[in-house]
Amino acid sequence: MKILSWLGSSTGVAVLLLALTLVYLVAALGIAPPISNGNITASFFPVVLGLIMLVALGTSVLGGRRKTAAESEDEPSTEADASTSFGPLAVVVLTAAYIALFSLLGYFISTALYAFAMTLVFSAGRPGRQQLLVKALIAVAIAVLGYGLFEWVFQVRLPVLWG
Amino acid sequence: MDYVAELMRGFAVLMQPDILPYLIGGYLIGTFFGAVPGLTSMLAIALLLPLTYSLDITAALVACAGIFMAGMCSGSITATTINIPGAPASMMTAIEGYPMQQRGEGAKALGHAALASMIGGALGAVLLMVVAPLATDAALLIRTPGKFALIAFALIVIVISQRGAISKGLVATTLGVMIATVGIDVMQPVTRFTFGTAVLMQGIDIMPLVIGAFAISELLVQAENKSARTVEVADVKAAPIRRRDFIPPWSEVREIGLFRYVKCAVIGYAVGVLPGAGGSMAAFVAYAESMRSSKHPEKYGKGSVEGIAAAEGANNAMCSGAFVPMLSFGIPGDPTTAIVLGVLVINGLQPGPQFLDSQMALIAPMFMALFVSALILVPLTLYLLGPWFVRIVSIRRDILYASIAVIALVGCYVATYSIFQMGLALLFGLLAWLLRRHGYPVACLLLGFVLGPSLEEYCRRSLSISDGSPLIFLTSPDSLFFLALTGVFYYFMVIRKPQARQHA
Repeated sequence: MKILSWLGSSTGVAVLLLALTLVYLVAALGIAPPISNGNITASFFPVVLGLIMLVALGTSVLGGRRKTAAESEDEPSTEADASTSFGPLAVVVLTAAYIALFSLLGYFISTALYAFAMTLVFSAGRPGRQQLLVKALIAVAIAVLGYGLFEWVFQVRLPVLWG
Repeated sequence: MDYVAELMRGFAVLMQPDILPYLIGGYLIGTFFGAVPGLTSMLAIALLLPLTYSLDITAALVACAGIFMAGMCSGSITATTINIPGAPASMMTAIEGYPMQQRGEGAKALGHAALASMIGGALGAVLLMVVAPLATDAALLIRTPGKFALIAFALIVIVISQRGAISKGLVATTLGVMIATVGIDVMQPVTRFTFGTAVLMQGIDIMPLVIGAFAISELLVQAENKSARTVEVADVKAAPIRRRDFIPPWSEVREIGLFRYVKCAVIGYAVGVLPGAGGSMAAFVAYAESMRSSKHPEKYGKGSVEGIAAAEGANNAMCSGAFVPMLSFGIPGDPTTAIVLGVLVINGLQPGPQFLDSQMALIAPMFMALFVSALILVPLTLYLLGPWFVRIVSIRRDILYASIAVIALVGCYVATYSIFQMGLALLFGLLAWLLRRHGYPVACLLLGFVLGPSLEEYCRRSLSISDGSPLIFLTSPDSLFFLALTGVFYYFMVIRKPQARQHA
């Protein structure tokens, strides 16, 4: 969990962007030299972009540090750097599972299950048995309405189990 | 005369029974998304984007126009009644509207907001119809180096308009341009950044980026909120509104004055033409100007109807202004028009200097939709639904966000029948959520993505013309003009502003 919290912090995001930029720059330089025989190549623009990104990231990180230092002189920092809610993580995991099972289980089963799980994530508290039943009915209703919207109104084919 | 005839034909098309429901439907969806705190009209258009694959282009554009106009004015409803702006552009309206609500004049404040939205939106649409052909003629004069300088100008203005977060704006914009470079090179048959993946060879589609950046990231943001409803029931009970009180007294309308309505509409329209400025800036600039020129500046902040009229008139006029650079140059004025540009591109249309001449039959109904939305649907919706609005926007969050999640992801699938695109949307959603958490403007990411390919193409074409010499950008008059304009904007928005603060 610590690594997820760190990844969600401002340092984590800056490091992630830096890593992406470095991979991008290396891949750009692997395409061709930026200038060949006096002509610019397909790697020229990406290399320039990568360098601009490095400068922008550096400026952003330095600016952020200066701001934090100035704020901490006035009052203790109130920035919640580390994630304190599991809601976003649950949404990511459930959405990834939904995408993975969408073709396999078909639209109806996967969507009803996904919608049910999402209603639980967006609940205000721990739901009781009756509320779970209501949420299950809501999930089925969402799946049916979605089917109506896509299949009947927009006439697109959705995947089905054993289709 | 041909142009006027096309506009009239556009009106006739808009009134057809198979097109008009899209305007009304779009308007109602936009009103809902604009009024519910946390949702925006941009999200509504983002959710509509995948559906445009199977929708008639005219219907899709008309729906977009309705959503855009409705989203801009409906934010004033919750801003006035419960002091929570439904959309960022209604921030200034909350400052003036909520004190009026506390005095028992909430309905009157909403009436003033609707009247100003109606005038501002309609004037903006008329200005769009007048100015768009002129802008198109001007666009024809710009050559390749000038096009590069114009797009660079747009991107720089987008970055420097991120007050207090310019470096983060630059990071987000550059990231957007970087994402746009994935796939086959714009000039040579060379693949870039595909890492051996065949599905990336065609590049990254705008759709998963839009769905990810605006729908999935919103789900992740909202997953941290543990409220049961979008607006608490206690707030709803505290905001009774009667329909008969919506009509603003004539004496107050006269006090605001026709000149102020027109001035704020023109300000909003002009701000809309600027890339990246958006409704919030339009409302803020018009509000500040209105306060400066008011006979009663002391009333501002305590429930001034002038302040409401200025902010609402400007942000609705902005909607039309934002279409000018998008249609004439292919440069979207704000994220919403960037998504509308995506709708056009999905349908194989590329806006530019010849676009209005060749596609006026498709665009004219959208122009008319903006006009009709402002002139008829704004007051009509307020009158019919106004008393119930705060109740309508207080809905269960579990139903709302589960539905948005399903529409976003299934929409992503049906657009391309690709599970990969759904995965990409999730990836972009996660990235956008991380960026949003730390103040990186996600709108810049989208605008960078949209403008990136043209920026690269015109840059490389210009350098090919000059045998690799960058001096072409200084020797070409149109390019020099836009570079000088960039300098002027940079001076006024970045350099001069801090100096003024120091003197203060």
